[in-house]
Amino acid sequence: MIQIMTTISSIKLENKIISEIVVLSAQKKFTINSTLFYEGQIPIVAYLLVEGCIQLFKNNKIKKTLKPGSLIGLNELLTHSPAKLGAIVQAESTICFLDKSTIFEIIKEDNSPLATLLSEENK
Amino acid sequence: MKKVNNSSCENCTSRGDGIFCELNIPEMDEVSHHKINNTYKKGQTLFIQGNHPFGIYCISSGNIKLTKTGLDGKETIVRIAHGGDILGHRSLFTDDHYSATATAMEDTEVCFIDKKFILKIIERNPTVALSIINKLSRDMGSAEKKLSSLHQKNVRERLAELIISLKATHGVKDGDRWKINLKLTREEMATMIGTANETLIRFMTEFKDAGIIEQEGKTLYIKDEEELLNWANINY
Repeated sequence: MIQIMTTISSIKLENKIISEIVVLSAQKKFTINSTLFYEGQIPIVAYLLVEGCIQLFKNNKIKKTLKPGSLIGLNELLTHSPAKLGAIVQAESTICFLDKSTIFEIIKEDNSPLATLLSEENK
Repeated sequence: MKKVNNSSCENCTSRGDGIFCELNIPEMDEVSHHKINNTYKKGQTLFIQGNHPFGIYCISSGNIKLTKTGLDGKETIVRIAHGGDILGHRSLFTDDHYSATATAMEDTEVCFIDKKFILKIIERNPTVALSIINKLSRDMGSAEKKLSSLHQKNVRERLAELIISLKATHGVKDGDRWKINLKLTREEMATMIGTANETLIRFMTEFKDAGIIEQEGKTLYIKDEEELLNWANINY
């Protein structure tokens, strides 16, 4: 199950979207304590946690711990909105990423469930 | 969903020094629309040594230190990047992981452009590629200079050379002296010239006693540039 974490809402989607992202984006290892983005910043890419753990922070306090299958930063990236929470990798984790160019390519050329999701987030 | 306006490359404080400055207005607008603009506070990291690169960072204003951490955990400053500089361009072409950690030294405005987009822009505009080559060449020149200094010069000469290079990148005329507009700790300066903190302090005192430099708080001033050049023993 995939979870879209935004500052406003979270949506649950089908597993096949995870597989789509994994195919489109190479899986990369991130070291412990790597900051994906800080509170108040626009994420530079959207991140899908495949393995490991990410914690969301506000004012240095843990607000949420994300499990594998969570996609974060998508809404903020597409709307150029600052994230209300910071995200830090808390264990050596495997993460897939979707940059803006890839997102627009998927929206433009694909009719998959992922393309539908991204189009919705880009509205 | 409400879209937030991205700051334009046209109004960048480093306009004229960046890699997109030769683009025409519509192309520059395309970059402005695509890029992600963020402000990093002092001490925040842009990327960490060993992590995967997503694209390049263009510094609009402020200073960023690039540090390498050795096996013993010691940090060495390899470069200080400022407005107009780019970061992550080497990893962009080699697909290597970041070889250093980038940390903001003060509140710093940085734009991020993803790899696919920058490669598309390069394909269409050779001037961007030339600007990147220019920056790579300068970086290589600095690295060669630093390597030869570490091998051929003593600490006094290396310190003088560091202050001269800081004057070139961050120097501001302040009456009859030069103000180095960059606050570095002694530890940071020591790692930049490959010496111990105590040794650096000893030589800084020697420079001050000779009337070559002076310090007000953490700010460094060059009082006698000619003598500093002599002490640096620079050969061209």
